[in-house]
Amino acid sequence: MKKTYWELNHPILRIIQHLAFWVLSFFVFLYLFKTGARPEKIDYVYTILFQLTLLPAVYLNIELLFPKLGNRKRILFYLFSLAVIIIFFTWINYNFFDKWSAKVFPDYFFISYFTFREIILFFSVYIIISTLMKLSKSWFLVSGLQKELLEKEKQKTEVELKALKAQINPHFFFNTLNSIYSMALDKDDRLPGTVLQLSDLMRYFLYVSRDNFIPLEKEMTVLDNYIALQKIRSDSKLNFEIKRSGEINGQQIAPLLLITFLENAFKHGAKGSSEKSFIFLNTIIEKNKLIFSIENNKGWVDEIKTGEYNGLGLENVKRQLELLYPGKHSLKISNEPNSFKVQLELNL
Amino acid sequence: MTKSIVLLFIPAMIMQSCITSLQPLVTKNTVVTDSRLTGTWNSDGQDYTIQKVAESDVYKKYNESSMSFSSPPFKRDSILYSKSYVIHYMKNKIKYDLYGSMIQLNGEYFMNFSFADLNDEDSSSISEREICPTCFLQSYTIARIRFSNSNTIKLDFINGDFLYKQIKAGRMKLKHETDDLYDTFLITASTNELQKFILKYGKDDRFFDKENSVTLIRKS
Repeated sequence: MKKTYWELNHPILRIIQHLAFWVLSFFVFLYLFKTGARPEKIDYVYTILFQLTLLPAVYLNIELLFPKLGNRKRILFYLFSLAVIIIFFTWINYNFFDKWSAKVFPDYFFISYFTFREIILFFSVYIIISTLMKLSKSWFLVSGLQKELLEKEKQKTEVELKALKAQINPHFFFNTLNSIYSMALDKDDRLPGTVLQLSDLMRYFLYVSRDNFIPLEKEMTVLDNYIALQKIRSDSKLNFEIKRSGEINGQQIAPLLLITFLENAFKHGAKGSSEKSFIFLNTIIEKNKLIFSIENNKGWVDEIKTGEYNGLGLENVKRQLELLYPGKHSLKISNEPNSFKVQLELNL
Repeated sequence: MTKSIVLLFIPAMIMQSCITSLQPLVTKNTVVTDSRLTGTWNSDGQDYTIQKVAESDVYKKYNESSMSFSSPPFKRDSILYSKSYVIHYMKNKIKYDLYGSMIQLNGEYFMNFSFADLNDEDSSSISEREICPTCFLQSYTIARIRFSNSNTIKLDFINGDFLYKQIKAGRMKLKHETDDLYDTFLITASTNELQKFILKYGKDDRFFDKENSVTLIRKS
């Protein structure tokens, strides 16, 4: 991706930032070092030369030492190297102004106006300031990248959720249409009512379930409709028990979570040929918590249908739970020889 | 009470273009002595006597007065004075006494001179006025001292004109104050800075003009 000029790490902006820092530093030094009321030519020369001895120490630190050694494992080695650099360039500075400058600039007369300790202090302060500036800049960069990453992760999650929902709906309708097909074959009189209830469910799937969260009351109504739909086609051999306790008003839940378990129970339990078909459904709503458990017998379908589409709904629900309730849910699936039990606990 | 401070410039033995510093070059920790200095000297018909301070008339005079060397401000500098010299000479019927303290920097000797006393033979008013050490602010002038042999000493005074021109042209960084009215200036750099400056440029002949040199020939 092409960087814009205003991004913190753009090379041109970086050069401007560094120039601004050194120009500002130059004027601070100039007015600190001047001997008269106004800075003279010698003050400009002296300040430039003073800064020139600071530059290598600062850039050696921020470009080499700090990136390579500035971590917890190497902190002692880093501090030692830093001390060596500070002392070395302090020595350069001190000797340059006190001795060598007479040969390089024979027509300019100045000395080192600071003691060795004072110059060490100058270097230390500059290295600390430049390191802190680099750290704060890095922090801004990391913070921006983290924000960007989170945004991307959010977009990815939304795309994934939409895909999952898109998978659930056809999966549910595929099962229900299979049931209607069976009713049509049996010329069952309840078929028109069943189609009508399916129509209501379709409306729910189409319009309501687009949101990430819906009122728990609506989800429960859908469950009731679905149960009614399935009861129409179930025979009297099915032992269906439903219990519900707690206050559902004012609670929110991700749509299509619970109906998938119910749908599986009817598909694998009620449709079986066993004489002892049963579905036990228990919903407990506590303060900000939902405990949903459903148990059904195993029918002949479970032995026959082992194709690739089996269990697709449950896998989808698991993924949805991971995305929408990370660390806020518990799903227990017990696959017993004669029964199948699911218990879901959600922190709403 | 506001005390009026008068900068007392050293009367020249010393040329007009010599440099004047507010701070001394030599301190009690850096002062050195050399036995070759003491004695009577002559330069261009002018006699000079160099004595150790303790042996000088100035010392005796102050010790007899209320401003003795054991009283402030002399007591503070007693170590310095014990290793310093008094240079005595007479010019235009005025007796001049200067203190001279010597330092060795980068293999060269340097001496800073400051006012000690003066006495006009025609009038006693000058000495009466200037004998009060706390009434004026001492200033110093500096010279490089080279011993050619035990009988010849060359004093190269720092060329004030050269320093002034360099400072005016913005080529020298040395704390100073200028008096634009009289076109004069005073070096206000600290002793430490002065020493560092001399250490670096003490061998640079541009700082010492021939016109600012005095050669003393031993008389006795």
